[in-house]
Amino acid sequence: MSEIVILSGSPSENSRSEKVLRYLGERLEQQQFSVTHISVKDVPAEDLMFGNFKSPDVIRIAEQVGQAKGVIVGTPVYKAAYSGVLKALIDIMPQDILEDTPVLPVMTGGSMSHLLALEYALKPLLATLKGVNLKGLYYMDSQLDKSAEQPIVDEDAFLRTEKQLDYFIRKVGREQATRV
Amino acid sequence: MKLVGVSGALAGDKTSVAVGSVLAAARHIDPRIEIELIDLRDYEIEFAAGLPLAAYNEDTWNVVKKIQSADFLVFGTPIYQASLTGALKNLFDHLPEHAFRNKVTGMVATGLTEKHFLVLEYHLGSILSYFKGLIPTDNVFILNDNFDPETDEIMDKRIMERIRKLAEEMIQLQNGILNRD
Repeated sequence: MSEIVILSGSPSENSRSEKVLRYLGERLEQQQFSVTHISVKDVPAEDLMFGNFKSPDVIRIAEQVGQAKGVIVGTPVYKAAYSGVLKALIDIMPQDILEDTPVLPVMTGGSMSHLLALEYALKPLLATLKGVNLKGLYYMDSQLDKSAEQPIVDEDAFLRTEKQLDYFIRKVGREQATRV
Repeated sequence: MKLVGVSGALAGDKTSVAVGSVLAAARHIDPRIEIELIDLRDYEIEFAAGLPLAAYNEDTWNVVKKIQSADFLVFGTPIYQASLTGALKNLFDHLPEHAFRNKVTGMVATGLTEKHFLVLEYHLGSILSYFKGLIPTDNVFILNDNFDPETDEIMDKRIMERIRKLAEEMIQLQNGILNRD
């Protein structure tokens, strides 16, 4: 069972947010965590469209997320909020699936004007699932380069990423210590 | 028809200028509109502590009465800690539950960074909705850089156009409310 689950809410084929999530996964693997990437694209569209919570894919994802020691949830900003597909998947997850779990929320957007979508849309949603939110990361598209090995080309954004990863790792460790 | 503007800043001129600009734009569109600017720097509003309004000082009483006398309103706030000012929130705390029923309530904000753009949409807007205010589709967020550093005039023509559109929408919506059968 994987220690860290990274959930991508981007429906797009060639996604900036997913590229960042992949990178975060690599960084965690370097720190000896086992990492599983899950995308909304892994779930058959019909299951999401009709809210099929009995879908074997959805049940498997719910198990993986529920047992993770830490979860990263990433989504592009769509209409000043998270993507609809991500919400469609979360809608058919158990309501306390993130209980006692440190969660790092990640969003990418076209402009800084939607930074607070993180605070007003994504974090309350994760808190409802009883996740323990970290501050989170917001990237402007212009701070990212999809084709680069390390996609976070903006220096400030990169430093923020390092800091949040560090907090995330420490928090995962602490939650583990208190659970035992 | 009376339009009251409230500037929720306790320091600086920018928010007051922004709210004043909406009032001026409304007056320009329809000269019959009566306008009044309440600048919270000019009043000593007491901290709301759940007492009846008569228990507070004269300024508090007067400002609440002015707000209640308005047919429609525009609220302006600088962004402090990714939020509206405490001074404005404290004023709201003095108002009765349905204070803005059948009133259009517009919003403008001044801020240092565009990172706080959604404060109006998600924060001030939800408070106005609590009071049953009707919120126009347009709102105006003005960066401090868009003000002249010397005179605090709004320099960006696009902002002035947004202010004009907000005033226009507010008047149309309020006319709709007042003229319905």
